[in-house]
Amino acid sequence: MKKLPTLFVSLGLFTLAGCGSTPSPSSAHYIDPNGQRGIVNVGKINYQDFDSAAHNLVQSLINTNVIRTKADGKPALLSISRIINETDQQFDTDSLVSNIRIQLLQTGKIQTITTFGLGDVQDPLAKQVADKNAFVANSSSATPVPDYTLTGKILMDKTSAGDVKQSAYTFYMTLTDVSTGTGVWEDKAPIVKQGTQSSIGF
Amino acid sequence: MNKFISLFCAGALALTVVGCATVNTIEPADQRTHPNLVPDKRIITNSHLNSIAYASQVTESKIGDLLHVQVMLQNMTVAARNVDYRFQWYDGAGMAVGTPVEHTAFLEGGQTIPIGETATSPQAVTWQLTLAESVAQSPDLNNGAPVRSGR
Repeated sequence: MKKLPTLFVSLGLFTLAGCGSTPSPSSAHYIDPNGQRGIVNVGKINYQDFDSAAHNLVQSLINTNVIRTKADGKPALLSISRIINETDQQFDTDSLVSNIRIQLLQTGKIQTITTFGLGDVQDPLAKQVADKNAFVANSSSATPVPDYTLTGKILMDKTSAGDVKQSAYTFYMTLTDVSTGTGVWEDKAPIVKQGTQSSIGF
Repeated sequence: MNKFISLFCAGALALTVVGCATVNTIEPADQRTHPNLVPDKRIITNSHLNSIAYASQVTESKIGDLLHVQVMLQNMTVAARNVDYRFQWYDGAGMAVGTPVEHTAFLEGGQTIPIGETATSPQAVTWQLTLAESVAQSPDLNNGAPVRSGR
């Protein structure tokens, strides 16, 4: 019986200490950008969704092992083609594409062309320098030709049942071998979110 | 007798609250695969998590020059649960390679699923898997807060 107060004190201390030291959501604080504490919105693509979709697509691409390096062992050249956003949300498709580029570059199998692309090139200064060098050297082409192109589409489907809302975002990607003009890899990364209110965490 | 009825009712109520969604599985009886099983070292700080996502098998393979790991996760409870996981890769000098991305695995009661990842760098020679109970669980346990699903 005498042990009872000690037990309550221990329990109180445990409660005060808590199992974690997560700050109150109301006060501004940093979170792990790769972790599980980000805000999740049902009707919106969140930061972590782009990360997750890009990661899953890159995993699918490297698991199929379709990318062939050049004959001299150098990495194949990739250029980003059109990425279509068919959702009701406005965002820069680079949120997805830059994640994919970063991870593919790390594999050592691919290098991306930054001086060639649809519309504005990624690095206009590098293109200007390459053009100037080609002109000085009296060379016909300053732009490297890609071995592969990456194209994609982001689709959305929203539905609800009573108070529960559901949003499905599907990220489609296709890799085309430019030498044959055929799609050598294609996959999708679906993200489905369901709930009645926004929350923190997956 | 009254005690038995009370216990039975309490058990039934607990099951109703937790939710019960177990699966039946069927697979070929003969051994057709020859996985490269890898001995592992585990640091278990949450025994409950270990019962809802028990790593029953760890295998490795190579895709070109990239290391691939696959872990079979088994939910040994009768309740459907979500588990967050991430793989961190390390090079030969023990330095972290790349940035890990956290994923959510969805495990029905009694279900075994494979989770895995391929290193994005040929420098990666080893890995560490971190598992955590999802902050958001299945809808009935989550008061309607969003449940996120991916692959």
